[in-house]
Amino acid sequence: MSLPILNVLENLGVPQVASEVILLNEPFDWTKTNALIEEIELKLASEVDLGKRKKIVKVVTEALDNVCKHSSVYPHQQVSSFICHLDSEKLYISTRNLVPNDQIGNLILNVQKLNLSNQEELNQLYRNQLKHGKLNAEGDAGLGLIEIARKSTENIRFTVEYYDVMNAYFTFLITLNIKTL
Amino acid sequence: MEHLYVEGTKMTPNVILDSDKKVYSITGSSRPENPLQFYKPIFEWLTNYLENTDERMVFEVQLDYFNTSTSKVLLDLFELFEKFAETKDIHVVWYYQSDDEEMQEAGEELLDLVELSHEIKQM
Repeated sequence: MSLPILNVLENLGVPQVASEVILLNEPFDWTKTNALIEEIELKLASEVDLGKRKKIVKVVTEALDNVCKHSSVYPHQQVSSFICHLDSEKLYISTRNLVPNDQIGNLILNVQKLNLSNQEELNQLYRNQLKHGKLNAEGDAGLGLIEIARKSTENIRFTVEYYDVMNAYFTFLITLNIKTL
Repeated sequence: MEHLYVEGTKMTPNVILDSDKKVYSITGSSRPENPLQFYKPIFEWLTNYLENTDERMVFEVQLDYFNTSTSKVLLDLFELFEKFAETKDIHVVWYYQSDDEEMQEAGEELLDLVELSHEIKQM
């Protein structure tokens, strides 16, 4: 039995005082996510400078792209979500979606590798993937997660929960310290 | 050669490929739902044009946002130019807004991966 998403996020480190500023549930589509990105840009325009705004929008977009591409396992059950919380210093971006059980191990290893890499190593990983990776039919070049890791101000936190015999819930938490970004 | 104009939207770029006016540019934002499909005619036009011309081409990129899938497409595009640049005069100009470090760094990172005549210019 999986925990409610807010409990999962609290366990991952989202403080209770952080307020939920965005909540988007499945079904996702490009029009809906584009409108959301626009809304976030507008909200940020008066609060942070262009450089920080670009970084935040980049991470939000990659997180949304990721959840969009992995949200259609059981579309009728609306299991995927995208949530942003904000406190006085940090923006917490979380995505939750189903991942086939046989892919969980590789995904965890991948995130752990990113978390263990320093900025220069992340930049090198990104350039290698850019140079040698291929864009698949879904438009995935394997760059999104690396880009998120190199723009984040803290390690990517995640949790895996049982969903059914085929799939598990995978929840990511990306943290951006708006002051030090 | 017939020109190719693609009108931009909030999430897809404006593309002008016009050999009569000697304008080759991509501007705006790029987060297409299907990047392969969106950029296919652009690759086809440029390949066809470069195979049949000896004229200098200055290709201008002026993007204010693009996602990582587009990064891969842009590198593929620059690699195509790199191949043709062995025998043709091709130059890329990458523009960024004065306070937009993200776009400046993205341009430097992409163009460092190819051997191609280029400049990175503040607008």
